[in-house]
Amino acid sequence: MDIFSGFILGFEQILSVSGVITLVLGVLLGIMAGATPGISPAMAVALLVPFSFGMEPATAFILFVAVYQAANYGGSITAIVINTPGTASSAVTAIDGHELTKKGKVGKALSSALCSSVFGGIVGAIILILFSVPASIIAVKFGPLEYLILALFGILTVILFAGKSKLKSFIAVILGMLLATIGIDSFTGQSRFTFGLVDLLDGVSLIPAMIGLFALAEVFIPKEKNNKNIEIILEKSEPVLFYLKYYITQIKSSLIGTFIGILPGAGATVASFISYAEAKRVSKKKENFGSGEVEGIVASEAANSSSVGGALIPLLALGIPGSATDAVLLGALTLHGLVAGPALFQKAPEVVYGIFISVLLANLLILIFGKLFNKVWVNISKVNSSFLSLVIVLLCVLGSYSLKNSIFDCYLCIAFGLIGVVLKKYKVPLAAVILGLVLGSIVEENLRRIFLIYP
Amino acid sequence: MHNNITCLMKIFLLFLVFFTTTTAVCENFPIKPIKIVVYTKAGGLIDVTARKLAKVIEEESVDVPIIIENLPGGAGQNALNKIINSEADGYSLLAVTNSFISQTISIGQKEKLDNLEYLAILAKDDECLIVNKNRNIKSIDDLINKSQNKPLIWAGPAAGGADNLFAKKVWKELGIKGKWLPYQSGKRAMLAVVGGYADVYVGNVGDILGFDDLEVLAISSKDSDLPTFKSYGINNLDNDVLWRGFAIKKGTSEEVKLALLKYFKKASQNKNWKDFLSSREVSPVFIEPVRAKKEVDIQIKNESLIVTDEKNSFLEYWHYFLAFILFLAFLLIVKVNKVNDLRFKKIVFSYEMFSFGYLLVYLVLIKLFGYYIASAIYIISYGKFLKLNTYSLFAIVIMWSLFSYYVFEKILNVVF
Repeated sequence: MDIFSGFILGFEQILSVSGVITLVLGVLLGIMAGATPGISPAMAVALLVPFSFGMEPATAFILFVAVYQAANYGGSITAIVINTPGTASSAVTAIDGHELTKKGKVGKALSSALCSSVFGGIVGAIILILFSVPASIIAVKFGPLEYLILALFGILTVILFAGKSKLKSFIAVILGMLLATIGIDSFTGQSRFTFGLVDLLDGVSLIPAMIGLFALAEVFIPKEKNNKNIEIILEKSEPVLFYLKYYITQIKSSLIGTFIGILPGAGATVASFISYAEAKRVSKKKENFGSGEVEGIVASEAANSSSVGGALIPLLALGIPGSATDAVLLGALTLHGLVAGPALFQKAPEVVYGIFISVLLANLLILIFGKLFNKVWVNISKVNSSFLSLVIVLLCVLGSYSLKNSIFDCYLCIAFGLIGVVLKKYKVPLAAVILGLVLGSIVEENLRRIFLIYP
Repeated sequence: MHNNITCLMKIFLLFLVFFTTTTAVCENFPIKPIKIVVYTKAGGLIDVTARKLAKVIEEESVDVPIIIENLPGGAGQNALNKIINSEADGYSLLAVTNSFISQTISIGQKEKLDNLEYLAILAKDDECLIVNKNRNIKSIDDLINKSQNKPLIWAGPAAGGADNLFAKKVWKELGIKGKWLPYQSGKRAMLAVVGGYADVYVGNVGDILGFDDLEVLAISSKDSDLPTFKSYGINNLDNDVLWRGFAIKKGTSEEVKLALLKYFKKASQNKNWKDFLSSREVSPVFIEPVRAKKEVDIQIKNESLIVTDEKNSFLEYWHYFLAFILFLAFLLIVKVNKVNDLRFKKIVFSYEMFSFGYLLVYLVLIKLFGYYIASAIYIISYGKFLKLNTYSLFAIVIMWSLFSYYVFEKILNVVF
């Protein structure tokens, strides 16, 4: 089937009453889910899978993909407004986003995040639509050596660009990598550093650790007295599309995001970090990064949104999930009696092209709804901080619990909150710890694979 | 206001009446929702199977809802503990696979499995050896021949799992040696075979649907259109399967067990269920408790037979290495804070980091262009960075290639 008749088929799926309703619903639910800490895009889709039984497969996947794309944007909202990244990839957005909020420029941060999210999402979608089969070769050809080098590259960039002091970023990354060694060693089946705790067998969960480090640590640290008296004046933001002026960063970050998204296992978080570092590297205002630079938000958001389209490439073309959410989508495909993989394009073209068009249109809807809701989010930062702290603590604990229904994750979140306080006190960049946690296992596993393959 | 409250009270009372009547009428099993505990996240293969089964049973057998509860984490132990700590009333089922059993044994929780009673096995998936067509492995004999010189790379999910176990069994039967290359999931491992990084993938027929490059070398089945181990003249390897089944807590009453079994049996005949499984090339079966228990026992026995024979690689001490680096970094920070952060930056990070980055590029170049061209590109570009002139660069290239030939080809080969 050529791409035009595919397009027509895809539009047929969406431009029906049920198609439009599911798309709108998906985007709204996705933004909400993404903005709630603890509900990752993967969780949001997983929660919706049982509801999709009655739907046509094509309609169901329009819903899932819209949720996936919107949740990736939604994560940036709480990251910016209350420094609680809703998704792992928005941890990078929080670095500069929350600093801007502290300065009263929350509108600016939100609008730039929205603008570049949509931009990145559209770039990812276009690459997905036009090049999904040829681009999937990247996923096949990327062997252990390439993964290792990519991961080391990620580590290098984070050391060089995460914070003011490189040594401290280095320490943070190594700390994260050490934490990543906790759990069962997949090469020998031994459990490492679990202290006999069953809950640690699968390793430290990323989301509770991240929420703890970012949000709880922020709450635990007593606010400086001066801040109380000064009324933060909210600056009015430029219109959303004004931020297209950062188009160079946006294009670059989107391409990085899509490329890394294609690689199964690397994911949106790594993409965000690398494009943030790249934006900082070329910027003339390097010293502003980390203390509220719009371009930092732009880079991070464009990258993590475009990784959605990228991650769908191996799923559709090869049947290999590119991210945690894709794994859920793969399960959902199976539930609907479809077999993901190269044959899907012939067997169920309406699902594939429905997904294509849905990714594309979901971005436009995100732009519309995001614009509407931005006014609401801005007002959150006006709420006084003692009340906000209470809400954040509640969200953190609930979010950690909801991930695996495990109370242990709540303790983990609180423990990381305390660690975060210490790290913050010594000005160790927290985002680097998260990247260490993400990359630790990638580095270790691929290094060991290399030693197995190339003796 | 007053109206609202009375209205609410009415609804509440109605509910109360409704509940008491339902409990009074249905004395039999089931009177409340049945829960199936799944040890993976939503979307995993066993989760999908359980959901489909729940839907089928709900449609044709029971009036109560069947709920899927995902309890991932703890290598399946969270789910197992949940069943062990629940009442033995038949309302909590556990979805079991042989991967789950292997996992539980390999983390040393074997005795916990004694608390389970296996109800039925509902899906069987024959183990396969899958190879890349471009690799010139056409038969088991080719496999044995190729393994003579150096062990082939066998990819699959984590070590200690069911697939790894099967691979070890095959190695033993064929008298060959192999290296297990574990991945996070079977699908990723398959990709390694597609990409040519591994030679054999241990998995199932359903995995390779749509992949033209892959073919089944041998399947562990008694009768199949595909080449079986038996057709190569190898016995003992015709009954290795991945199975999916359900278990309850030990001590559940017989009536309840019989009722549940009836649902399962009926579901296993259902057309939807059968279609669902066969679309993934999985055979729908119905294996009753006694035989299911036998199957599990075989699995447990096999598992304990396997002795970890792999040589400890130094990378197993990866975490000590990381900890050591962290310690050094802390030492540095103490020192640097006394000296001067700027000077430190100048020495360590600008120059060394750059050359480190270059080394990584070099590794990629080796893979792309082969060793010598890569070295040349590497040295020339690095030399340009160091602002050397062309003649000296040329000399360095030659010297480097001679030198590194000895280093890489001779010395490193001995070390690793």
